[in-house]
Amino acid sequence: MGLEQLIKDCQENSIKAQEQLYRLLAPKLFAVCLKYSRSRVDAEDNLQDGFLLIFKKIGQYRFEGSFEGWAKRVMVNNVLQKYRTEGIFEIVTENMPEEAEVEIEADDIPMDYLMAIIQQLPDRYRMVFNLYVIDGYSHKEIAAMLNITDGTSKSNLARARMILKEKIETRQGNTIPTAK
Amino acid sequence: MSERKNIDRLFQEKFKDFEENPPEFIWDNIREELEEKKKRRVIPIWLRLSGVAAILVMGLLTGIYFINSSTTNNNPVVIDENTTQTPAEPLKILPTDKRPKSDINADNVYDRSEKSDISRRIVDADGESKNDGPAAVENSNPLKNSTPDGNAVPSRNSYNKGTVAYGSKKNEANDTRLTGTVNNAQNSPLPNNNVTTAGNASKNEVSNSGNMHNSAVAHNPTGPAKNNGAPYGDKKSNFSNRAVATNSAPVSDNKSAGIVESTNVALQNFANKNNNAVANNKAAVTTNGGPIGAIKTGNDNPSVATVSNTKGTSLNNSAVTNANSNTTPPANVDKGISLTETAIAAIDTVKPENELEKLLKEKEAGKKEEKDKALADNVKTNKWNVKPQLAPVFYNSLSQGSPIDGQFAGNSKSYENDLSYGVGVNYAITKKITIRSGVNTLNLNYETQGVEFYASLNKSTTNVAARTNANIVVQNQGTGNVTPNAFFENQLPAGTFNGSMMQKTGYVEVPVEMAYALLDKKFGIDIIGGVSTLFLNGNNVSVVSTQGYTTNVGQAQNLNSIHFSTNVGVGFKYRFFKSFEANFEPMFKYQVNTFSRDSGNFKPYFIGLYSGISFSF
Repeated sequence: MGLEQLIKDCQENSIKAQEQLYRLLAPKLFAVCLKYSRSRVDAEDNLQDGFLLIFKKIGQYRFEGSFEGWAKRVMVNNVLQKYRTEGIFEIVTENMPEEAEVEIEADDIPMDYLMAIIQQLPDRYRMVFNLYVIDGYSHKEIAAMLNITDGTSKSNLARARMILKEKIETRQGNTIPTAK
Repeated sequence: MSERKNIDRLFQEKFKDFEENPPEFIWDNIREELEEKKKRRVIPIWLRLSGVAAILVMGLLTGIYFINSSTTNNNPVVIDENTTQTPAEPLKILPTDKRPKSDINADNVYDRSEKSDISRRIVDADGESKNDGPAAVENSNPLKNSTPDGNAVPSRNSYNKGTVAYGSKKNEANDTRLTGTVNNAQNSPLPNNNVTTAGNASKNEVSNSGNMHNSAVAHNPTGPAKNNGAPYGDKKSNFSNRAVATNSAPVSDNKSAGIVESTNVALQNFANKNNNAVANNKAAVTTNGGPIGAIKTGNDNPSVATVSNTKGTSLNNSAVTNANSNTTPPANVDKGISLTETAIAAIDTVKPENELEKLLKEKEAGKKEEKDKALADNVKTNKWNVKPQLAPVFYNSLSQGSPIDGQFAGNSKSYENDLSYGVGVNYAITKKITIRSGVNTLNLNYETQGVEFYASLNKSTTNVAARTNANIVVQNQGTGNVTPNAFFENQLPAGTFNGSMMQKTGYVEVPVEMAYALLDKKFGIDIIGGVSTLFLNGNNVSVVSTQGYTTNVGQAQNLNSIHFSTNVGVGFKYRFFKSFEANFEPMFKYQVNTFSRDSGNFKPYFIGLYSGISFSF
């Protein structure tokens, strides 16, 4: 009843409902934006645009599946779309062993640092890594979303893992956080 | 392989429940944009209204033409109907009138969320100052809440009815502390509320006796039962849980308002969720860094601090904070189902939305994923739509008549069915309203039976242009008064011939229509109304004799080079692929002003079954 009513009010453009929905979802979706964006500032922009898109398209939500899932997908798609239209998916070396072994000593690495190294990844590596590792999309789905091939997706992922691993190891070696 | 998982898992675990509050100005920006958009939307609403009104008017017009075929007397009636019909329409559609009802809710909730804002800040402050402290630090929140809530009166504490849900080992220490501060709940007028479930672990009992705080759970009249039945995944039970749980906070409220109030409170929880998130976050990041899966397994030890105003003014000052302070390993869950269940209840009551959503999502992930994604993909809806189309056209007249000559009015006529084809362009102004245009070719032919014709040098057929050589005169059979001239140009022997007369007209049609979507899903239904401009590009009258002789008579002289039609129709569409739709649109088009003179009471119309495949971009 509660959330459903809130969504319905949002569909009728009640600003109060929209604010509530924003308050409800913003922390989660901001986390999503942080992961998928290049920087915190970018993430803030993306969050703002994404929410506007959510409010604009909320009429299309048919109460099938979780709303949060839907909102998250809108958000991710918005970011992908943005980077796509900006045409800044850099060309990256495509050939990379797909099954690179990436092991790290997972001691206590602060969240801030992990976020920072994810954000520092080249755009497409970051997208692929996030989509695959954190949000559980398959390579096939990712390939469709990013307009690349399965193989590219796999090799991008491997590259991303390598870069992240290196950065984590550097940090562990020096214990000097280079984050932010 | 397993090593590779390490880095994946590291990130998965770290990011799984990661949340972060965006800066406040983002909402301000969003609101600004939303409000601006709202203002701009005023026009489309009128557009929508007028669009629907226009369609109705046209429907009526054509309908009335259809029914009362010949006389023009009916026109005043048409106008009357219009005026009565149109004003009635806005009443039906005005969308904004629906609001007040829900606003009542929203108002309440809004106010509360303001308050919870305050408390969030409190929590924030806590989190930052006690950054690295152990879990216990978080639990001292109830103390803090009482002071900064804008109330400087020191005796405030005495009204504090703190609620701490169940302890693990860690919490016990805190419980005792809380007892000291919170015990003052002598006012707590919840006598019947101490119904602890059988499943409650002894730890709960301990804290119970210490202070009244377990009322959050105990007070819940439906909670325990429901939780046993559907511990996870059931949204509804979750909501009611939360609702009731917070109800216990505003004491006076509870007594008077009962269940009705609970919906409001439930909504309030949405606002409060932020707090939870903050508190949770801090706990996860600073004190713990530990098992993120904890939330799912029920290892959280959420504590609810409730500050309530006992003066009976039923002000809801409740601030729900959630301090996530567990350091016990996940193994805890296995100790007993009952414990988990109560823990679930607690989570449900304290952390609205989050877990449930997540679990739901996980459950449905397999099935709904695709669907949702398709939805999300379509989020960028395409405004433009191009549609090659083809339509069998059925030509007819609403009345007996003949534009060639009144004498043929009574003759039987056969109307040819033809094929119209062209391209349509649609532009979606809003989700519901589409403006349509395009270009179609159109041939409208009919045959007048039972005529005779002959060649003549000094006579000609009415309304048909004279030819350079002998004219063909067409008249009703048996008219007599025939002075046929023979001429050989057409190998026609002198004489009269029985046969039929064919009038062919060709047009280029440019419609301007508006479509209103009644149904807008994979399968959609539109109402379409508008006008077409028809440009004459083919004009010919010919005759065919029963013997098979055929000859041109000439061009009809009374056809306007431009005329119009009023169009009404229904559109059916089916989206079979992302941007592709199959369309089927039966349209009724009534021609207006086709003839410049002597229309002979001929009231042509045609019905086109337009079908095509549209591509949107």
